[in-house]
Amino acid sequence: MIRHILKIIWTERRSNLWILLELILVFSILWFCCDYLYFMGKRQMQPMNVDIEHLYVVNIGEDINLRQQRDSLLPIESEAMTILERVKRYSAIESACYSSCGFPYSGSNCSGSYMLDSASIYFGLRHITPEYFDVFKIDFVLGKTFNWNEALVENQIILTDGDNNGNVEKNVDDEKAAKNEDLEGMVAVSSIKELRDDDEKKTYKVVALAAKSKYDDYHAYQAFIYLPLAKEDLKLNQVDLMIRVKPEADKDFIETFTNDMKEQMRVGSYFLTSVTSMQDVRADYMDWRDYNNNFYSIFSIGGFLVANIFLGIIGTFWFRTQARRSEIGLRIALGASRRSVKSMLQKETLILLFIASIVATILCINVAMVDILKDIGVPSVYDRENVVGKEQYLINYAVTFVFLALVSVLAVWYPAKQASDTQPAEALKDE
Amino acid sequence: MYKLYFKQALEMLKQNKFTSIISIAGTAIAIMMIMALLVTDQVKAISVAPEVNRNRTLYIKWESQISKINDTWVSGWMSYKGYKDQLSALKTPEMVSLLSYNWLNRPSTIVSVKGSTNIDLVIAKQTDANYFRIMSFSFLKGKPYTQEEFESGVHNVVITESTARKLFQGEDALGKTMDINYQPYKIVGVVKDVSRIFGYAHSDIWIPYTSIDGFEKKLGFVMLLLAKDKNDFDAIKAEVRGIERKWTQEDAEWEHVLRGPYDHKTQLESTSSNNEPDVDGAMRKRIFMLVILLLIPAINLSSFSLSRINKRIEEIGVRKAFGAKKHTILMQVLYENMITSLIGGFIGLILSYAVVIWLKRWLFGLDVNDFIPVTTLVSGWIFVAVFLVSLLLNLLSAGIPAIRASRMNIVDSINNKKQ
Repeated sequence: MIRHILKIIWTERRSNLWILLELILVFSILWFCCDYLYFMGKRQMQPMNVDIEHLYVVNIGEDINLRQQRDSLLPIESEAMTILERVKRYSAIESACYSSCGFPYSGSNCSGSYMLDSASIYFGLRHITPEYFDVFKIDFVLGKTFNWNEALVENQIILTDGDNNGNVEKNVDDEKAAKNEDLEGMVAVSSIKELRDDDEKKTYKVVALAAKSKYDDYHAYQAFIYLPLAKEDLKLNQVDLMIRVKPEADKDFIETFTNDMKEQMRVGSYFLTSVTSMQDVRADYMDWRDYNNNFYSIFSIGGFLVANIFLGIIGTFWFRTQARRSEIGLRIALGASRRSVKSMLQKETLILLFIASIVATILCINVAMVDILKDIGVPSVYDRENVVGKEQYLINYAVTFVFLALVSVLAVWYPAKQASDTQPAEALKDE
Repeated sequence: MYKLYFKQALEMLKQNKFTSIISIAGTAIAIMMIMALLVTDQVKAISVAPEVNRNRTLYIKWESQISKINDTWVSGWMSYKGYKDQLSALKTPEMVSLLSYNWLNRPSTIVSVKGSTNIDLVIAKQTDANYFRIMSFSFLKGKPYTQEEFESGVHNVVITESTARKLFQGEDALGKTMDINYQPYKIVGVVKDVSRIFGYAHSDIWIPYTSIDGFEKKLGFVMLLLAKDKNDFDAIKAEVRGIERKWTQEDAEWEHVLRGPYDHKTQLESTSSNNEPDVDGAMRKRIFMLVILLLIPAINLSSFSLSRINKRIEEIGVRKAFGAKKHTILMQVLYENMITSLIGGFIGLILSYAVVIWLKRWLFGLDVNDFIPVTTLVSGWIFVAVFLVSLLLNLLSAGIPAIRASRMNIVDSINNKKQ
C-alpha cells in the first residue's frame, strides 16, 4: 500500500513539490518553537522555592537637608532599626527584614568569587538580616537561620543548595590546574564548610544550607551565599525593606499601611514614599526581560503557520481531488470502499508530512549547530549557558510531527469526503 | 477591457466558491500579520500630538562612566552635573529639555488634598519649561509653568483631567493646592488625558524638577534635543561626541560615554544603560519575520494559482490562437489574481486593527483601560502599504504561473497538456 502511495506521490511530483516545500518550512519553524517551549517549560517546572504572595517592598526616601543635621554620635543603623521595630509591631505584619541585592525578579544583582582550598567558586551574593528566610518562606535543607550579632562577629554564612544536582563549579587558574588535574569540576555544596576571601583576609564559616534558588522562573538554579548585613551598611537608600503581611490582613494593604505608618516612618531624615507588591515587581521584571514578548511571538507565529498549512493542505487536496475525479470514479467502480478512498488520501498526506519531516529535521539540527538563530534575533535556547541533550531532539520531532499530523488529517478531511462521495457513473462519463 | 477582466474575475470567483474562499482567507491572514507589524511600528514612531516632534527629536538616555584607574563601570541615567557642566554648551539644537521620571512607570508618587484623608498614588514626571514646547498637550484650563517659574523652583503642577476628577470630584481644580509627597503644590494647568502609548509625554502630573530639594544629586535624567531640521541630526551627534571627548579629557578619574543622541526609532531599542542598542539585530529580526510572513502564504497561493490556471488552459490556448499577445494574457492573469489579493488585503487590514487593539498589552505594554488614539493608527501610509503588500503577494504567488501560462505552446494548451 505504501509503495503504491509513493508511486502516486511521484506521479504528481510537480504539484507535490509546493506542498512539500511548505511542510518543510513549517515543520522547521515549529521545531524551534517546540524547542523553546519545552526548554522553558522544563525550567519553569523547577520551583522557585520562594513564596511571593502577600510580600511587599517598602520604598523609603531621604530628605538630604535633614541628613546633614544628623547627630554624628548616633550609630549609623539606629534610624533603620527603629523603623524596622515599628514596622514589625504593626498588627498586619507577619515578618520583616532588610536585604541588599536580596530579592528575585530583580535586574540588579551582586556576585563575587570565594576560595575553597585553591579553587575559586562564583556565587550570587545576598546580604540579609536573619528574618529574611521567614519573610520569603525559604526552607532549610540543613540547619537554621543565624543570630545576627553572632554571625557578624564570627563571619557566619548560609549557602543555597547549588544547581540541579546540588553542586557548584570550581574554577582554577591554569598553572594550578596543570599541577593537580582533579582540582577543576563540580563539588557538592553540602561538603563545603568554609570559604575564604583572600582580598579581605577573612574566613567564612558555613552554618546552614538553604533551599535551591534562582533569579527568575526561567533561569537555572545557581549558587548563592547569604551574608549578614553589616550594621554600617544599613543606609535606607541602599537596602530594601521587605515585609510579609498576614493573609487575612492583605486587603487594600498598600493604602492602609501608608496611611497608618507614614508618621511613624518619619525617623531622622527618612520617610515612607511607597509600597509595592512583589507580584507587581515580578510582572515588571518579566516584561523587562521580554519573556512574555517571546512567548506571545511564538504562539502567534505558531498559530499563523498552522492556519497557513491548514489552508494549504485543504486547497491542494481539493484541486487534486477535482483533477483526479475520473481515477477515483474508476477505483470506486472497481470495488474500492468509500473508506479506502478516504484513507488513501489521508495516507498520502501523512507520507508527504513524513518526507518533509525528515528533510526538516536534518535542516534544523544543522541550523542549531551553526547557531544562526542568535544572529537573526529570534528567541532561542542555544545562546544561553546550557546544554541541550539528544533526547530534546527526539521530543521536538515527536511533538511537532504529531501536532502537524493532526492538523493535516483534519485539513484533508473535507476533500477526502468529497472524493469518497464521487458518483462513479458521473465521474467516468466526464472521461 | 479591464471592465471585462473584472467581470470575468468575479464570475470565476463565484463559480469556484470553495477555492476562492480559501485563497482570500490565505491572503487575508498573511496581510493581517504583516499589517499588524506595520501598524505597531507606526504607532510607536509616528509624530502625533502630544509627541508631535518625534521626527526631529534626538534622545540621550543614559550615561556610562568607566574608571581610568581600575576596572569599574558605573552606568545609569544622566546626571544633572553632566548637563550643567558639559552638555549645556550645546549650540546646534533648537532647544534642549531634561526629563526625569520613575522608569517602572507604575504609580508611585503620593498625592493628597487637605481636608481629605485619602491618599492616591499617581505617575509623575519632573520636567523643565522647554518640555511643554517640545510636546503639544491639550490644555483644558490654565497653562504650563514658565521658564522663570521653573528656574526659581516654584511649586507648581500640571495635572490631567482624570487626576483632577479623582482629587476634586466635580470642582474646578485650577488654582487649588494639592500635596505631592507631602509637599504643597499649586495647580496651574489641567490637560486632556494622555495615552500610555506616548512614553515621554504620558503622566498623571508634571512638576518642575527644580521644585525637588536636592534634585542635582537625587534625580536621573533623560535629555531631549529638538533639532531645527532632520538634516541637523549628524551635526548634533558630532557636537555631542566632541563634548564627550572634552569631558573625558578633563576628568582625571572617569571616562564618559553618553548613550545617544538617538533618533526616535533607535531609542526604542535602547533599554540598557551599559550597551548600545542593537539596531542591526532588530532590523534583521524584522526582515526575517516579514520574509516568513510573505513566503509561506506565497507558496500556498502559488499552488492555488497554478491549479486555477491549469483549469483554464484551453481557454488561454484558444485566445492565443486568435491573436492575443503574451503580455495580454500575463496582464489578465495578474489582474484577476489582484482582485482576490485586494479583497483579501482589505479584510486583512480590518483584522489587523482588531489584532493590534486586542493584543495591546503585549505589543505596547498597555493595560485594559488604556486607549490607543486613532491618530496613531490610521494614516495615508498605511493604505499605501496595504496596497503595496497586496501587490507584492500577488506578484509572488501568481507571477511565475502567469508567465509560464502566457508562454505556453498554443497546440499544447488546446490539447489540455497540463503544466
